[in-house]
Amino acid sequence: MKPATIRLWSAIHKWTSLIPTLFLLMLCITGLPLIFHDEIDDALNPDDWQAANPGAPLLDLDTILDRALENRPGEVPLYMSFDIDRPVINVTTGPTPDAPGTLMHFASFDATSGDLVPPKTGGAFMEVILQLHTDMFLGLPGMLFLGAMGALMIVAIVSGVVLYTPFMRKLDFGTVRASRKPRIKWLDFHNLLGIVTVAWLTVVGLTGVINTLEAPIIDTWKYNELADLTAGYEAGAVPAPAGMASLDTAVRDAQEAAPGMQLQFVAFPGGDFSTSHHYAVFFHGSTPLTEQLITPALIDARTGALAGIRPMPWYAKALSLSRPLHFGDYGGLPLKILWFVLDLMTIVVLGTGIYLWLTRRKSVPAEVREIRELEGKPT
Amino acid sequence: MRKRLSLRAIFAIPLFIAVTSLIGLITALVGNDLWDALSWLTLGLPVAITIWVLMKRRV
Repeated sequence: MKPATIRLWSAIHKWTSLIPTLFLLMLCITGLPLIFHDEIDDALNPDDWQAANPGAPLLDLDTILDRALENRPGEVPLYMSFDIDRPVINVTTGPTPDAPGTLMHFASFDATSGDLVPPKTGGAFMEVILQLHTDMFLGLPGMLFLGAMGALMIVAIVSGVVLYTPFMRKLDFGTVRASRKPRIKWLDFHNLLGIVTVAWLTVVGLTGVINTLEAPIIDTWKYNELADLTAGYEAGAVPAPAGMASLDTAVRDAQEAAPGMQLQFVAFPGGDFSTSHHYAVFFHGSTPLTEQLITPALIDARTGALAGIRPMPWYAKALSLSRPLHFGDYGGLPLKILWFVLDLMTIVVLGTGIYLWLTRRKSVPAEVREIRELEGKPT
Repeated sequence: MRKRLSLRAIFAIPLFIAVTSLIGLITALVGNDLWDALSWLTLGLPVAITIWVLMKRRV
């Protein structure tokens, strides 16, 4: 590789690393506890809750919805979701159908009695970590900004792999020149840890970037795939809870139309995941791969008529698959532990990268000089 | 001085690690049990190699 080529790639590597490096460090550090989000949640919330009437028939969804709205007077329903391992139904409400996440209220109900289930405790700390990790408390702009930092990191990875070549021309894989001065030793560590984590970090980085695009992806889906359903309706007129058809019947009709699929959640009219006029009843498949993919059935919320099943387009499927690939929560505890270790290794790559930048020599680009040294040429 | 290594010599091991990592990331997604175990083996490789380098005699 010519010195000019190396200089160009090292400039690319330097700037695409330096700009996002503090944000990437924040993401790596907050990511460490988030990998074990479920385990931490379970440890803080010993599962001693009992249904009021175990074995009793479950209340219908309209009754649960009524309880939820009595519990939050003046609010409208946004989402309803269903616990897998206990007869509990969760209802998210808000002051308006398009309320932002900060104004939403989440409550859980015993499906055998309609009583409130005490909320999980101790989740506040993890919520703060999660918010920091997703948008730094800045909402959509913060999320998209972190996505841009992730995109820069992908460029840094590519340029890092290119620079790996001249550095390793005369070194066997895995060489760490520990007896040399610290800069050389840490350079070798940076190169080793960087190259062994490259595939994992590229996947976690790319899927992280895709996750930051959730809002535009969902908007595109609604605009492109659901627009035909809203024809004939006055724009923006969301039916009031009292003017909505039976939710229980709607969900039952949807389940009949989607045999073999598992009910996941209901999005109410006017929210992010539905039109202004429909219940969107989301199902997921029952195999390990398809359980990540959601498919909605849309039901006219005024008449209760089933408008049809609408399979998600490829970009929405990509978003669904990006979640497990980013979180590392899809292969049992050993995979989470590996995710944790690989995250730690990434922190070392970032830290040594900052060190290499701080200890650079200004006259000749350090990389060029060190590569010349390796090749036995005078610096 | 040592002779220059070819691109193939430089990237043989890194490419192997990258390809097996990607296989592991996908296998855990398509199945459970054995498929998960395969992901632990393949994604354990970069970790194992790092431990090996830290333990061997340095030059």
